[in-house]
Amino acid sequence: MEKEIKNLREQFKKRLASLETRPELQKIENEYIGRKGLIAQMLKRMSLLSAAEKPKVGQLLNKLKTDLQDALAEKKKELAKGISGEQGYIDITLPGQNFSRGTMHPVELILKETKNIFLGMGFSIVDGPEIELDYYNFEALNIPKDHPARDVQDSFYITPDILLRTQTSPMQVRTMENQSPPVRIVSAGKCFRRDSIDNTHTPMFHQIEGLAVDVDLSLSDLKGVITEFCKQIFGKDRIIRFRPGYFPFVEPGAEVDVSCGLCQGKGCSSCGYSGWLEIMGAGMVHPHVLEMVGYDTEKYTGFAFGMGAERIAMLKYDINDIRLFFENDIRFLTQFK
Amino acid sequence: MQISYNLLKEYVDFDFSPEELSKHLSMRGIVSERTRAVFGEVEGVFIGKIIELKSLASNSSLSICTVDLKNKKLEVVCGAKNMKIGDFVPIVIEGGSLPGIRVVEGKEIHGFYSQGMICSASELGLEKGKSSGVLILEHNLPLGEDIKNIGEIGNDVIYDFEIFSNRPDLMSIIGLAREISLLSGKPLRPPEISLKEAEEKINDSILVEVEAEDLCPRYAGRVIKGLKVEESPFWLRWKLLLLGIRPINNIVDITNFVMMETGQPLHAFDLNFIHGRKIIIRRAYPGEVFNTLDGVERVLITDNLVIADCDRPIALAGVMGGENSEIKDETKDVFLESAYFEPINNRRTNRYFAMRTDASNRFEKGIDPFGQVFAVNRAASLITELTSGKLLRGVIDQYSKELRRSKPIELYLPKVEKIMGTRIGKNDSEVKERVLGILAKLECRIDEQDEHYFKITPPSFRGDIQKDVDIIEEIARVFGYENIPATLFKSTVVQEGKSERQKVADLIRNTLIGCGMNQIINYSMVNPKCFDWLRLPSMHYLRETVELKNPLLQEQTIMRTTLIPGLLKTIQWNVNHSAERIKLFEMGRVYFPQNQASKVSLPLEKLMITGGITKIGRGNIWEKTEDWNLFYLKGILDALFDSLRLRDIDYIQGDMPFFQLEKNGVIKSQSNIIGIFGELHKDIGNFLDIPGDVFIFELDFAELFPLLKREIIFQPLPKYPYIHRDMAIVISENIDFAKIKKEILKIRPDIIKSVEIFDIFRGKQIEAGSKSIAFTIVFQANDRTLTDIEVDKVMENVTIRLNTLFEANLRR
Repeated sequence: MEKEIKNLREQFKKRLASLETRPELQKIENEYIGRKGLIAQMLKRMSLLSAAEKPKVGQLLNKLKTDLQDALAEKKKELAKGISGEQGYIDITLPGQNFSRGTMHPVELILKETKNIFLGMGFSIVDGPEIELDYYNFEALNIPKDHPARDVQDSFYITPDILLRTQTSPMQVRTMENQSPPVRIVSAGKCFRRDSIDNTHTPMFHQIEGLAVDVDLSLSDLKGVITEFCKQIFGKDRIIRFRPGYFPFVEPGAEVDVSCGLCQGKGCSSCGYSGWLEIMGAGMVHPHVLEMVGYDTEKYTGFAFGMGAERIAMLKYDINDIRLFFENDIRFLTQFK
Repeated sequence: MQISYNLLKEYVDFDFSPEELSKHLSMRGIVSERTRAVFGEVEGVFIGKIIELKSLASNSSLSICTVDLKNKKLEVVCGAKNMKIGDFVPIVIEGGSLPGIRVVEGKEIHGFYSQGMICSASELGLEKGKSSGVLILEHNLPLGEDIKNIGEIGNDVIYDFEIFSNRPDLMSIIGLAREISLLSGKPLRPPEISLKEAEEKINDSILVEVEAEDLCPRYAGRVIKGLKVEESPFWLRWKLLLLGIRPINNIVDITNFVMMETGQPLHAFDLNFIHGRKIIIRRAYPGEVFNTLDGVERVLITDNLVIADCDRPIALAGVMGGENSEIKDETKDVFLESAYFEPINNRRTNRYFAMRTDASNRFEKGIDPFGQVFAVNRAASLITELTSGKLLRGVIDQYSKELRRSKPIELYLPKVEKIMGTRIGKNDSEVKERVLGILAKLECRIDEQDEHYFKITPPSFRGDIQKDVDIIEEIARVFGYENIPATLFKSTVVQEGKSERQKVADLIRNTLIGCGMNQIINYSMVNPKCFDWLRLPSMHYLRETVELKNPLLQEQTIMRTTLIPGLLKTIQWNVNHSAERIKLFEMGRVYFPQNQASKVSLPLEKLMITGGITKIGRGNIWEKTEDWNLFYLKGILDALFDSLRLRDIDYIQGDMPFFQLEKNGVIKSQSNIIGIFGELHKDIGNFLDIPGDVFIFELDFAELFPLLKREIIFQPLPKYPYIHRDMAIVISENIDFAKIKKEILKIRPDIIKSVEIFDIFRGKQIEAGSKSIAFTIVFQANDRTLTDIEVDKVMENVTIRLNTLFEANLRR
């Protein structure tokens, strides 16, 4: 049995040396000096020993037990040293363990906020194809072939009839083809234009488009909806202004400006000294568009609006280069918590 | 459209200040993109007179000018050739400034100290590019006076108005003045034309034949003989500079000025180079060659309309004249052309040659089809006024019967207010009066009317007014959009809000963000080379792509079929920018060609969810022990599937070429393959210089979505305690844990609740080709408390079963 004790001591030493965590330590402690541990078992077996052997082995076992306890205590201290000092002092200024939440892409953040605002006003969210028929992207929107308005929307073509959508407006037509009035939808997503890359242009961007058709809609309803949206997304301090604009699929057409947040409308370099920043195009849906989907233009009127998500994000967060959105630098992304 | 405040004032005498004008016009949809004082960036420029001129001894191409500034005389070196003694010139003195030159300093030029600089129009910021000489001013300006103080020249403001493409009528001084007249109530003052015609008749000098009437519905012209081509007088050169046009010579300047004034492009031909004294307007012969004024040889197609003489084209109609008939210094006799070319064909030609001129830009948007004769007369009167030329009797004016006349429009007054959503007068008669006033200002003709109704013919220069809503827009513009109230919907509409798909997409995004991942958005267009570095074999299905016919960039020529290359490129970017813990995902579409023959079948678009992680560097006190391995990634997937309540997921070995062999899998649920995951192949990591191991997943939303269960099914909490037992077995290396677990669960599905692995061990004690697996089995019954004896029995069965099936033995 003396040999057994010796072996146990050796084995314990080895295991203790190699362990690194407190749970492991706990396990070993239970295994050796626990109530049903190895030492306890050996103490039980002492009854089988001769009277001569008993005191010696007993001493050895007691010694073993205290040695092990000391070693364990020592090891416990050692393990604790990583985070706490001699008297169990803990440096509470150490960082917490990392559970940090990721981030939503700033463009997605704008899309989400925008959708939520319009959902609150009774709009539905619809999705459509990013690769579109020329018919939906242009013709059904009162932009026939050879129309000058196509110039500002230079397109990527797949075939002569299929292109990467240049705007989310095709969803207006697709929705109206499948639904009779009243209609109240918002569609958001990727759009593509063959624009050379600079700090305000990328060949891909995101648009948010809205459409409402009903028996009694007017420019004043459009103004109401857009004013409410702008207040919610930019805050109540910004002033919104409507002025005439031209888009072939609306008439009357409007452009919406929001007062510059940097200069409070006084004029500065970021708003071109005008005090205003263009944020969206809008207007009453052109009767041609309604006719193309078979709506009764005598009975129904509608309004539509569209804006660029990147532009909204740039204005809201004061970002000066649109390319940042597609570089996906983590130092950029993690700012949008 | 560049134009100045003072210039507009000549055509309508409004009371607005320059700032007010800009504000009023912008609220009517005419926004100045750039507004500047004419000499806003100029300081220290004075009026001087050249009183002595000699060439510089050390460099004869330069001159020394002695300039009289009334109270002092300055000697300056000048490289221009166009000045002479007695000329009045703008001179910037030492310490002054010009656009692009903060402080002008006197300096030594070839051994001569120059005390200032005589300025050209471009140096003053009035002309783009380099001017051909210094700016010669009007005589008799006050010498020594600061140029900013020279009355109508110095105090002017230049606007650059953005003109909507449906309003070509606003691309002219008269058009803008008409708009200002509309909003200020002040009358428009068009130029007065006085024509003194000679006895000689135009028909004896030129004949015009319009062969292609469809493309040239109207063609007008005049002939002036015996004129002298020279520099234009200062007033004309100055106006052109204000309009952003470079002065050339009096004839070209007049045609340009009248175009800017009226919106009608004009072209002047040297009459003596029109062969056969005949002008034919025809389609080009295929392959016909023609040299345009810009010195480029153009090979024409039959779609191109040309102005030809008896032998050859002399102009590309509505786009650009030809070298063979251009106005030269020696030109004596000119034929002035003023035409209406059909917009769509003109636009095609512009696009075909990728050229756009001031003229073609107007033709393609549609000019006034009835403005030709007025414009050519205006130009003729200016030419006879400024040169001693003789205007031949008569005007050529050939037009097609098909020439567009504006169609009458019916306008119902209640509709005006319905669309605007507001009353525009106290009562019906006030509304009617107000609309009538606006229609008159718009120069609309009222054909019929009653209390609530008008039949209107819009003026010919407003091709954009075609329907009642176009007129309503005009009324709203004059009324002011700012005066329309903002109201919210009067009725409510029940719509579905977000669809299930959108909600699930939101949940996926939120879960991944919750797992610490940053969302990225990459371009949908990718470089086909990415498939090579992704190690895809030549026939791989991901290589079947939708191609762009007209890509913008070489590295973006096809539509992506997987989000992985973009994700890897983003990881690479961030590694290069010192990021150490990278967890990214993208949710976006991929595109595959549809094989149907129909030319209008759209490509297949699929939403993919792709994520990747890599850890480089040590991290902080806690992070250093984190191991971002395949199972870390799987943990993210487990969290995702759990949040979607998607339970029965199988992982089976995969073989995607961009993964490390055997360290990747296919994710299946029921019979759908919902995605792939694995460790990125080392060759790709090396290729992209990503130092750490990269782990990636890509999920297919369309496969995943239908498997999701919409409802939460509540399970009552267990009433009876559970018992757990650990077991360690030695088993062949090639038996996966999922298989073992499945078999154990089968033994007593009623009471075996779970099997959780807690250890795998390989080592000396275990024979080669085997592993030791330790797991916990949890037992629980729904109707009773289990006993140790019952559980021991099942444990025995498990041991036997595993031994029979897998030759597994309990580890001793």
